[in-house]
Amino acid sequence: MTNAIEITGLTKTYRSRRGPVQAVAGLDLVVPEGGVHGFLGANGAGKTTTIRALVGHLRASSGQIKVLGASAPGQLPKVIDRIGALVEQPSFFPNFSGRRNLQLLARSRGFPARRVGEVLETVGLAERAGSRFATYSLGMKQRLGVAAVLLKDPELMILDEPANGLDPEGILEMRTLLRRLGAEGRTVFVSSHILSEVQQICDRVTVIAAGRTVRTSTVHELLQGAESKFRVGIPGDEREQHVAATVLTGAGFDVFVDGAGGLAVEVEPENASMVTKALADASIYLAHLSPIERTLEEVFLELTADPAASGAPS
Amino acid sequence: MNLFVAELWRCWSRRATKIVLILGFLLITGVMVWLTLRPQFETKSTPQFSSCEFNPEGEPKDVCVIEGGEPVRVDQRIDLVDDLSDAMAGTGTALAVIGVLLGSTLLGAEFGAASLSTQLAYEPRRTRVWVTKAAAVAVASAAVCAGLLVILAGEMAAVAAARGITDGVDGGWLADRALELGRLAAAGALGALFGFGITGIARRTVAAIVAFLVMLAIVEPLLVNTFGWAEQRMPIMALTLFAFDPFVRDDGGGDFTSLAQTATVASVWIAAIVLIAGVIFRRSELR
Repeated sequence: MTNAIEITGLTKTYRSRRGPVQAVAGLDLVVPEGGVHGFLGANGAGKTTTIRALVGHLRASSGQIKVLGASAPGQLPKVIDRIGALVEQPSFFPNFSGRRNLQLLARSRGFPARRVGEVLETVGLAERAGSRFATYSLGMKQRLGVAAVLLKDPELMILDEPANGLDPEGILEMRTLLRRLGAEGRTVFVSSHILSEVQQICDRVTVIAAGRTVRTSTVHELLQGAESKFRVGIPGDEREQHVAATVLTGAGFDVFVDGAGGLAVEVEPENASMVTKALADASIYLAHLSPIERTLEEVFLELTADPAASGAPS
Repeated sequence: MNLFVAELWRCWSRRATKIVLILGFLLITGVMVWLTLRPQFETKSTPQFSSCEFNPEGEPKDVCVIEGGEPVRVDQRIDLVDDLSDAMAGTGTALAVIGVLLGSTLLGAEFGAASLSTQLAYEPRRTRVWVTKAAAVAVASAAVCAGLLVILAGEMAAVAAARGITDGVDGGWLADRALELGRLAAAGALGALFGFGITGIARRTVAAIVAFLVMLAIVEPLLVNTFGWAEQRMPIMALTLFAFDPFVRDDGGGDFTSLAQTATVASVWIAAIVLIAGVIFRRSELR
């Protein structure tokens, strides 16, 4: 499998009156071709700076960037027609209509005029395409930004917070659209703060903190790796639960009360049967033993809670 | 070429371009209506200067007593051959100012809307983007200026044909007016590039207009008064003289000796300004 994006040792330091500010500190990133790849990080983690460096809006202080095999920014013009990018807020001429703004972009690259109508239809903006951009809501502006990305029919889409400002219906449509684009074989690289959305649409994610990559894996692996906690269903009242907790603690398990007030243990999935055995030996029989699945949000918070511990600079 | 056509289309679609054309049309039409409606002939008393001393040019030297003379009949009809030439010459500086306004607003709008980041995601070659934008702004401004002059010429010709004099209109005269139109359109384009370049450096639309006025009214006169040799090197002075063309009617051109010299001085300065702005654009980081 070839890679759509390869970043090695990317650093970016901004100059400011209070001295240099390091926004990205040796970030490594590999995005394979095809599918939806999430790019997660807290505010100020370096997501937008990385994306700006990817599309040539700023020069990296050091490091190497390859996009669709071309070095950025030097060779970017060779592949730019295969890349669609939406960086932060979509920026268009406020007094031109949405359609006119897209027509200008289409004409600048010689794309057929009918593409404008098609992409406006795709993002659900066809009815308001004739209105001035300045009159659009934040969500509509975001849709127009995505339409501008789709105009090129790109192999690689780089989207910075595409669901920003969308209403629930818009978020659902965006989710469906990104999933479809990823399933078509395109590479969708999407940064987002809405982790539940990322969990639903992404095949792979990269988590960054303080300008460095903390973790890259498939969403499945990331969440599966977190399934070391099991909810222990004990029939009976509180006293039975207390006895079970005592038995499990005595057997060497880490026992705690889960968010719902039930009994839970922390154990590797392959050792889950040991819980059953310990309780059965004490004549306590389980109603169920079910893994407690953590959300991407929980995993993300855990990974980014202590960047120093994960090797990222403070 | 696609980029140039798109940029030209953008310039044409801008409200500022349409407003300039509409206001120009209304102003020209208003003047033409007034010229049409006013009496074709007027009777005036020719001033008679008595008890005056006259200089060699025949003008009174001191305060004179003016007495009414014989009434004469003044022909106020439009004489297309003379009046159009005068009118076109009179619009020169105004067209250069219109160029500055267009050049600065067309680029300033891009900074205001931050639309360059969207555009650079389509065409990352910044030098190409900059050169194309400058060319489109120059061509659009030249077209607007030419359009206004065509409106002026067309309406004046219509008024002259209806209630004025069209004698002397021939191929040679038309060719001269076409050349004059080309020169004035070029003055508009140079003004636009000046506005474009200053806006590119300052990132503010208003900066170009302020720079133009301050240089014209304060900086250049000051420099010329301080350093005599500076007169032939002043960009705005050169631009306004190029637009006015005093050489053809022997109407004074300062230390400038020819129209070509004014064009060269203005062009070199404006090219330098656009180049500096382009280097800044190429090196800038879009956040």
